[in-house]
Amino acid sequence: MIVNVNAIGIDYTTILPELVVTGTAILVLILDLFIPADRRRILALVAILGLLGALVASIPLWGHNKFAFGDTVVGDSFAAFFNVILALTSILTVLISPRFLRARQLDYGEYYVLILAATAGMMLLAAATSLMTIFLGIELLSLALYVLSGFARTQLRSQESALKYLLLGGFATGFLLYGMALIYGATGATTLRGLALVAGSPTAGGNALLLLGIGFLSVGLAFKASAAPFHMWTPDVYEGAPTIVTTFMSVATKAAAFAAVGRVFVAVFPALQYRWYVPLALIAVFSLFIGNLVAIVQDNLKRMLAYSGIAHAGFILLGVLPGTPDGLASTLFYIAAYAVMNFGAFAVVTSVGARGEETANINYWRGLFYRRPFLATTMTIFMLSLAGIPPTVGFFAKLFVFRSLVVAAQTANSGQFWAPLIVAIVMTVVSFYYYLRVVVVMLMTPEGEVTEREPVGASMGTVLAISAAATVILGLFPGVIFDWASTAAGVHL
Amino acid sequence: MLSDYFPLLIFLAAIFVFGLIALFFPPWLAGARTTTAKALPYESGIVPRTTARRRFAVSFYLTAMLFIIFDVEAIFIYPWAVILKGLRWFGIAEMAVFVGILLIALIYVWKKGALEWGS
Repeated sequence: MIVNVNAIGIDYTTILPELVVTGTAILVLILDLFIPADRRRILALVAILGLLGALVASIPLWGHNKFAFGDTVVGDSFAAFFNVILALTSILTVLISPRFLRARQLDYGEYYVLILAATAGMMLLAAATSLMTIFLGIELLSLALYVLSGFARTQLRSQESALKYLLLGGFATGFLLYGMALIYGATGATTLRGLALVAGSPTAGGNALLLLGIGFLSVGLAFKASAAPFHMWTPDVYEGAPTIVTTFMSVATKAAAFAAVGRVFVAVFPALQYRWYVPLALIAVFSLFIGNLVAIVQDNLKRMLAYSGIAHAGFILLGVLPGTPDGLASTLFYIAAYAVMNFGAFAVVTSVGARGEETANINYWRGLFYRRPFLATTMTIFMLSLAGIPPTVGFFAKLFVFRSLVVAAQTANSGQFWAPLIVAIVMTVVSFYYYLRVVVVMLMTPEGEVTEREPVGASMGTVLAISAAATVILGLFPGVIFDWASTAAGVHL
Repeated sequence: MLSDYFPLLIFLAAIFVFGLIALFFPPWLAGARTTTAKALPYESGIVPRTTARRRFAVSFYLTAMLFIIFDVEAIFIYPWAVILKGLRWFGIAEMAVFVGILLIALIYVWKKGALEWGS
């Protein structure tokens, strides 16, 4: 029997970014064995070069729609958009890692391998057009993140965080896989192209098996995106994991999970929008309520940002609700904006807490303006942006999402889009309290003597300056990114 | 279509009923007589000397994990071997990549000292 290999559609250029990142991970793993422990900075350098390579390799995908490997992955603008966000996030993470890891005596080469593996999984998830590759991407990123959250292995909190994430994550993956099995059972297809054909038929809306499968699938994806009511792991894992890992995973995992959500719901099942609208809207509303209301009472900044992340998952999901490319464009813009501002906020927490874990408590931040003015200033910018105050990018992110809902309500001429919109607007006002509280606390007069000023470090300083500048500049000129998001949102199958 | 599964349902019920009978019928018929020999984990095996719940070397975990990795490798190689003729050089190249990555993993665990026993 001769297998026709050409019929599979092998095209390595479509997965070149993933291949480059994976190759770099393997290279770093080998290098780690042969270089002395005091020269581990080289590993960070190699990782950054590899991620830059992946960034460059993503650009040719822009504007194309190349399906490959039996329609299981695609190289399109959507994947390129996410590849750029993910690669940039990873690069910034690796840039600020060596100093943090050395201060915590966690300077092992495996850290970079795991970051790269997680990035490869996330990129694969953004490019996945088959249930199998979606699962593969999710598992790859999850397994790396399970280990990373327990990376401070001598600390009990870190172990607890890893175990919680592993157990709950495994449970969520079970839901995801069950949903996929049901979808396959109902349609007989695993590729998104095949699914879209079945979902487009008039009888699909009455197919209970298919709808149940989509429901389970969204549970698994909402877990990864830490949307309520599947968010229970988020605060504990974010708090217990090393802050640098939290920085990475709060941004990158959410982006990757929403890449899959966007592709599945907007590109594959737009015809079933009237079926999935209510469950997804409920998830969004729950996330907005729980995230914002519980964040108010948090005195630990990592926990506060975890709940804020849940709230933002709600905002991001709002753009998916209309089930149109226009709505998805606002979601993509929000993800890009969230990546910049949330990464920055967690990076400040990392920098402040480079010595010990206690610094995440809000009392420690009292009078930070007088002790460490640079950190406090950048943190203020990120907090204003997360709250959605102009002229930062967070304002336009919310504006575009709200506008997409208004447009959807007008075109569909139905009132169903108003309810989540009103909740979102009210919750935005609520969120001002806990974001601005951090700013106020930082401005308060310090309790004791002003202690000596610790240097931020060149790499951390650069990363924070870049993030803060991006938060403001993208807020002044949101058009460029929004145009890109609109192009990327035009997903075709 | 669903009625095709009806025999399966009967079968499930039969299993359940048989289990109940096997569990409760003999003691009711003959009465329960427990002896020390019957309470042992293996009635006809070696007499246990200590409890099984004790600490053992963490190296066992490592060995077990490494075994799984290379066992999975073998599982991939079996179906590959069946269609290797059809895949030709493409198949060889793909498997070389796969085994190559696992080889790197082996070098990694070796170098990290995971194969050292008891040191």
